[in-house]
Amino acid sequence: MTADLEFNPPRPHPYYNDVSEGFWEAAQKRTLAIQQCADCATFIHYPSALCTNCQSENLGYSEVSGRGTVYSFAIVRHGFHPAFTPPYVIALIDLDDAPGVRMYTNIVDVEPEAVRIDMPVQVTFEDIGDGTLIPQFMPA
Amino acid sequence: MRKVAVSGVGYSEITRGGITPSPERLALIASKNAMRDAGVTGKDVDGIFEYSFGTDSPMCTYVQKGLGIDNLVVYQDIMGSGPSGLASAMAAYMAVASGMCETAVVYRCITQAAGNTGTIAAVPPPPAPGPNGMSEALIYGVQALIPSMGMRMQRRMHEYGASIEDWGHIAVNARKWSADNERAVLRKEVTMEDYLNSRMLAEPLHLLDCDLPVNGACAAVITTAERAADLPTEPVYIDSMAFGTGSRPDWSLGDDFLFGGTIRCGETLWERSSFTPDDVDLLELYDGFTHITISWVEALKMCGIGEFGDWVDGGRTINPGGRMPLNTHGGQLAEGRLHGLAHLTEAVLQLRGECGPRQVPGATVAAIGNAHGPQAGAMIVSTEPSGA
Repeated sequence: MTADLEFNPPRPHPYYNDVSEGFWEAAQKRTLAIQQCADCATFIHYPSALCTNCQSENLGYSEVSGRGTVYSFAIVRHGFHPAFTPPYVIALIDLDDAPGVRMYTNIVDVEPEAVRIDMPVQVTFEDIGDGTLIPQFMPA
Repeated sequence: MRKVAVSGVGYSEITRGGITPSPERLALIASKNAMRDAGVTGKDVDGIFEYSFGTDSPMCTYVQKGLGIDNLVVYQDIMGSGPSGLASAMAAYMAVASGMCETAVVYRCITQAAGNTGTIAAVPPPPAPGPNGMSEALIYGVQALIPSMGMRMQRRMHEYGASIEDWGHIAVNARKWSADNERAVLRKEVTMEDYLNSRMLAEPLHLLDCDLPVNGACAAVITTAERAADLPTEPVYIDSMAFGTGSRPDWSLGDDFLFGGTIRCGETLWERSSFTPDDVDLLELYDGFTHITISWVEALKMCGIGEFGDWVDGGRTINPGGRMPLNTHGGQLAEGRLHGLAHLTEAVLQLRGECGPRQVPGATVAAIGNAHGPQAGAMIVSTEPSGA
């Protein structure tokens, strides 16, 4: 078992706490939900304990369409973590219907060389090995 | 506020390979050399500030013991969320200027080449815990900053029409200067072709966009201008300094992805400075990644935002003999990653006219920028007590 962990480590898992659990619980139901202030409607990501606009604690999670565009990306060609085999695409996505929200993702189901800035993408959910789902994006 | 000066600088040896060096020894040797340079002893020092990633550097109080300092009236071990090694000198400036201490030693010690990344940079075991968005990044295979820097380069090309050679000029420039720096670990010249052919890590980011992990330490002595006048070295005055984070700061999800806090930092710096961008004779700008250096050139108003490619003029502007010499020690790309503080110590040596074959003739004002993202810090130093 020790040897297996050394050579085939599991994918890093999302870390939940009382602030971010709404985002990750939604992802387990194949839903993209972004933290939103119930007082001023500001969308916030990564989740925060206070609204970054009005400092309200009255925060919830709102389901969004999962459509967005590629803000930027890089094609990872060097092995940075043993659970990830290059090449793969790391990207930042601007969501269409959650203004101001930018998310990390991999772009999946596409040749890395075909990814472009401003490319329309759609959320999908990937099982990272033990049933845990994480949001990913693919060409729309 | 009291006027503040840098009165001494010092280094340990800078190496890769060989037996793992003791961080305590490196920090002590660099600090002792800085104190000797300044002409002070442990009896004169009453403050210490160091910047670390945790276990990669000895604590202030350990160094105090070795240096024979009787008592510290202020000290701080600054952990890795500040403007890299320059944070130690910025803290010392605030303490000396405000009267909290008279003479401070600052250092940055690093043993990264021996595999000691310090507790902050260490990889958390899966499942990945983490206090902020960096843990979110890790689940997508983003470890450390390299892919995030690659994304900045991609976006800069899209937004400003930058070419890959823009970053290459920073990498090529580093070796042109390090050829004349005996401290530097990498002194062999590289060409633009070498840069473009270097290994792709996170396309479009190449291996030669990254600085070089080394083992080493550098240090400085920071005191009042009044006391500096009685010491043997020519004082290099700290004219001004500023931090900058930008709004909703984060290494990748912050409001200003391309520049982080550097633009806001530059604005504050020039508001505080008695000099103007036109007065600057040389630049010592952080080069952990080449993208960071370009951000600082523009944030410190050497040229307009997005105009670096024209300004650098095929490298001629920043190379030896150019009108705005940049990273005259070879930077971290070539001298080795002493993590920002060596940009200050090199500026001090240049302004004192002690840099031999790489000396910038007649330099009196230097601008220093450190780090990026939410952690920007900058400083103007000069042999003149203040600008016009």
